[in-house]
Amino acid sequence: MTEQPVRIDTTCPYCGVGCGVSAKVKDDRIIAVSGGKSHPANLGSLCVKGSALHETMGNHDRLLYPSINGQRVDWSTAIDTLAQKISAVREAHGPDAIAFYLSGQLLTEDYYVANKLAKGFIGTSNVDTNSRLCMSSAVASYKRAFGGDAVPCSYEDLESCDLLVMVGSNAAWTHPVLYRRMVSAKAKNPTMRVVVIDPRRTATCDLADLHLPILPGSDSFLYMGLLSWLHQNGHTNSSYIEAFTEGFGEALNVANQYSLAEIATQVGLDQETLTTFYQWFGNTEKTVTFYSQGINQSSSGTDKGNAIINCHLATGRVGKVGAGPFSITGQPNAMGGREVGGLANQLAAHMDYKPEDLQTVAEFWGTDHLSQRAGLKAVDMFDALAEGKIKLIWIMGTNPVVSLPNADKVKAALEACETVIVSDCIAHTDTTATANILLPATGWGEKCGTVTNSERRISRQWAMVTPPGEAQHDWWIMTQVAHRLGYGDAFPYEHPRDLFIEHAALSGFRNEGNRAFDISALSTLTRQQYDELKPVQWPVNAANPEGTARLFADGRFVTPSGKARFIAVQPRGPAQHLSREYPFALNSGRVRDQWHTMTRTARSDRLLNHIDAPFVLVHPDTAAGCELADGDLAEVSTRHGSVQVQVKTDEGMGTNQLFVPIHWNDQFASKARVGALIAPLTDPHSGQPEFKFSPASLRKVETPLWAAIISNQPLNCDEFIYWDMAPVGDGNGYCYRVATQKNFDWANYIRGCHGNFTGCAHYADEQYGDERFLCYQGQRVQLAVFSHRDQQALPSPDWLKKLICEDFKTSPWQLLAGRDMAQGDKGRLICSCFEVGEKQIISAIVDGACSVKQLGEKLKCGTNCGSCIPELNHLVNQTLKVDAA
Amino acid sequence: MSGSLAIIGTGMAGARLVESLIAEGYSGEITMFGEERINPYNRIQLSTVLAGEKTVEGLPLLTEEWYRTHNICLRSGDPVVCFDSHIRSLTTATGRQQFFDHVVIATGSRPFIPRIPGNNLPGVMAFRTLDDIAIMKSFAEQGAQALVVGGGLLGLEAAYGLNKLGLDVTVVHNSTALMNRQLDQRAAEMLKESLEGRGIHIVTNARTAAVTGTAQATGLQLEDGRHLAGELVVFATGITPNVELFARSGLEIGKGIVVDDQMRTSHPGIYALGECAEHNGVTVGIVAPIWDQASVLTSTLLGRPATYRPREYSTQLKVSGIDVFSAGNMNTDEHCRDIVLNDPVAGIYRRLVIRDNRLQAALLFGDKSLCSQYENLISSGQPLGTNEQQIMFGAPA
Repeated sequence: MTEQPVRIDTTCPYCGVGCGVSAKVKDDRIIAVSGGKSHPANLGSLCVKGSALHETMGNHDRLLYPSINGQRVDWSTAIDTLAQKISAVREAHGPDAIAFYLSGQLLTEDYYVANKLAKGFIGTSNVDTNSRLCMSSAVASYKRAFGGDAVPCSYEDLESCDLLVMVGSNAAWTHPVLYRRMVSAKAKNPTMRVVVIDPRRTATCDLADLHLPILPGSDSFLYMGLLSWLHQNGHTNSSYIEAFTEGFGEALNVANQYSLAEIATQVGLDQETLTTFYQWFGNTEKTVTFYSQGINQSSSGTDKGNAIINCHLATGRVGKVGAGPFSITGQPNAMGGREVGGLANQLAAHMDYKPEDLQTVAEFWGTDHLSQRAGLKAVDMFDALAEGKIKLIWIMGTNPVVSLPNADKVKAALEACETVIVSDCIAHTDTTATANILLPATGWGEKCGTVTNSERRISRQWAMVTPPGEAQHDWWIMTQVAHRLGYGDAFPYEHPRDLFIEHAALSGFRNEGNRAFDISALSTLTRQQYDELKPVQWPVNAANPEGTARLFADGRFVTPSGKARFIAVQPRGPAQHLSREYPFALNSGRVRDQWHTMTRTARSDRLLNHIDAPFVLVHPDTAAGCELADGDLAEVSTRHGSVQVQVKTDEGMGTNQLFVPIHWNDQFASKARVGALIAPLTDPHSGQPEFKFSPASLRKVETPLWAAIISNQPLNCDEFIYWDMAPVGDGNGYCYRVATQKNFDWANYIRGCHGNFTGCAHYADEQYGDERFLCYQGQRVQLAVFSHRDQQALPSPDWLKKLICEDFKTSPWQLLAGRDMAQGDKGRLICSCFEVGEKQIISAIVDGACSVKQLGEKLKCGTNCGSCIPELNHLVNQTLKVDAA
Repeated sequence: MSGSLAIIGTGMAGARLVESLIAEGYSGEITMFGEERINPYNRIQLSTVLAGEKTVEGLPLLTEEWYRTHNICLRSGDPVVCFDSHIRSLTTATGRQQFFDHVVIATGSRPFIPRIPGNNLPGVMAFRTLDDIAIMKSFAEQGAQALVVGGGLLGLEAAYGLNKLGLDVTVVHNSTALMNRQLDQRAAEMLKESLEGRGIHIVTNARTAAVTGTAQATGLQLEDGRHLAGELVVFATGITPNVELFARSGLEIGKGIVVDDQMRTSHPGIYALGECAEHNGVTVGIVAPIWDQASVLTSTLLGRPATYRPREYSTQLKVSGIDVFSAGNMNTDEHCRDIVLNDPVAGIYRRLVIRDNRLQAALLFGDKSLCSQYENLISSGQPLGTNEQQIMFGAPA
């Protein structure tokens, strides 16, 4: 039955920008998405990941049924078993032997039940989340400074400021929609200046008037130096400091220990550059400091956050239009999760493990099982798991085997744990592989509830299509378990709205303005009002029924004294030092078109076309020193583990720095989990690990023969030296790049694949190790192998994917060309929206399109989401530079 | 150049030459003499006519009107029987004697039939002319069994035509591999399978000792003692240039009439081309070099400089549904490099031989795509550059 398409306004499930998404739904399918025009976060624009959301749906590789030890069971059996196991472990080992590991991808309502069930009724406080890996240092520094986990700013401040300082953020790739907003704002306001502080020259530096490539991890020196300089040069706001803050003197004393020269040495910049930045900061009232994982993911991330906040307090620039310290979140609902108390050191609704809060929450929930002290933070939780102290862990919507530090140890701990419960949308992840009990959860587009973005804005996500198989909502699963455990009365939920209003009520319960988080005005929403809820920034209470754009503008904070606190940060660098054995500083982070462990983004061909394999970024000189060239396989090792990835040279890297993306894992590559390289060294306040600095070594791995393979079945990769795999959209197949020994017997390998082939075409040119196989059934390719000594000679993944998705119309042998002989190769995809490749762009530039605008007019590249504009700029500059030379 | 011109022979060489002369503006009188009664036709297509895939009507190379329009005096069925090379006079079968300023000899060749017992029995024939087709058809009507001696291009095309006519056909070949001059072992085997798949029997390693029969051929006796039955025995065992007429007139003759790079014979005003001509000790048996010769001779006759340089010529098997193309020298040594492509189910086999970044030979079975590109690359000797690795599939646009 065909019906008219319906437009539904929902929210994007990716980064912390929390963009509105307008989805077009027809016949129970999401057929298209576009930016929600009325959503204040994005006002109609969407990045490439968001634009491809509809391409990530579909049932392939979804977890469809509950299973226990590999056997499919019905929900009733699964819930019974779960409840029995929880009861048994609690009885035998106490509630602390039970742990919940949650995700910033969960909706607030899901999070609320998890927190209530675990802390309030099972009685364990071992409830932590992957937000620990992303936001917890920023949270800890806000709490230390302001008394609450409260971002004072709004996205509009990024546009209304005159100085935007971006620290440890590659927003061009990680928060593209905000980056586009900054770009437009800067174009409109010629006096606006942008400073980017990052050891790497990233795509974000395109926007920078000043790029400060500081030494990795030296941020707190930079900011304590700034505090001292501001004071010495008369830029501090003494009346603000006097009226609204405390602790300034002590912080200044620490800051004054260092001379400008010493700071310059510590951060690796010359004094002149340093002073330029300090002057700009000092002279610009409307200054926003925009910071992200480069600050947070550090063994002193909380101090770094406070070093930044100190400077804003000293100049009175907090919560004002165009001014404030603005921590930007990685995940779509990290903030929503914290609102309900989804961290082991929080209780609920921004209440902590303090006697009065414990009493408030116990009373509100009507429980006498409430856990009484803070639980284990993520890294400690998995240590406890490894030590056997935790006997049962329930992981929801996250992939710790990939994302946690010392990830090999995490994997071993999960494999050894007797009860690992995993709720997920996706069947095959590195973490589901360790589960005893697998529960199929609904995902984006199938579930409804709320999320909170980086500017405290609560937005609705909508269920738009029927969940596949027997997938259930996380809140429903946990509510059922609560009922089986005998807590039915406290869990009377039938709809996410029931959870939301209870959560809203708790936020206002005994809240005399001492908790910034207060959405009590939403505690009486009817189902209809909940459905009609427009995006709104908390607090939403009697005083601010329409929400609140900025916090603390009046200088009143939520500390016991009502004053903001300076923190006397003793600057320090990373916990580990470089050595002769490990001479490189390994950084980790995102790429433009992937998200987390790729469980969703790898379902879209378009997103994989930008970068389809793991890599290590290396400065060309460093690469040359290690006898490495682009495309070579390299092993990056630390004391904790190693990865084997291909080399990409990048002049934006420091010569002793490496960068490896966080996304790839055992589902997509032979050995690329960067988590395995990271030391479990955490910030003492936040428990957040130091993902951005690991001493590492780099060496070449010999790859006598490369091959590109497309297959409609997953391949056995045991005999390969290296492999990476990009799934083909809609479950159509798997696109591999592999390295093998020199005389690999491909014919024998293909026989071992046991494909149902009606024919096989074979090409051989021994001179180059060039062997090609095309196995087909009727008019459809089932398996194609192209091997060659030179990786550059292999067909493009783009071409290979088309090969397996369409019936061929030529003779099969002609496909062994490995490319479209008529069209030629358009090169690596740069613009994902319009599928424009690097070679096309370069030839257009050579033909006279010498600006991004002209390229857009000619090829349309960069004219939709704009994510590729920094790369287009780079190509224009590079190409014109080469031409001029 | 002007004056009267005689072309002795109305085969494909003669026809090509006259067409080319007119196109290039030759203004002299032209007379053509031919043995066959029919005007010049496309002999290459005879096997497809035999197979019933083309009709006789489609064979003439040029129309009657064309000859009229260009004042060509075409004397088909009136062969030259006497020739004097010193005074360039010729006498035809009808007794006519004429003198010419220029004479072109384009008498072609005739089939070679081995000298074995019984080779003159009724039922023993070759396959060269339209008349041969008529004889074969009459055997087909009798439901005869046919034996084709020779598994080269012509023999296989004949066998295919006879098979299509409904005869039970056996090809008798003296070597292990069919088309052994053009194919390698693998392609020959695939060809054998393809032909057998069409119901043509193939007997290899078979040397014929005699045609059996008394009043009529009854079969072939092989040297190894086997006997194959057949009332129609078609020999496709090579050709002999038609040069006897000219030997008597003093022209220098080897295997064929000796010509220089301008297609001139040993006597002034006398030229030769085609299968009857010998250049640098080589006679030809396929059409492509004859086209080159016709072009050179046209220039010579028009007084323009031109030089005949033989190239590596390709051969193709005209059996519908079995594409076979071969060009260049398939013999390899340690400096050569083979690129091989196989798709057994689809019946595809392609092999390229490369030497010093140049294409030396190409063998295409089952699909002739890119064959003209290969032919050009082989004959030009042009370096392949980086296309070397994709040459199997053609250079990308």
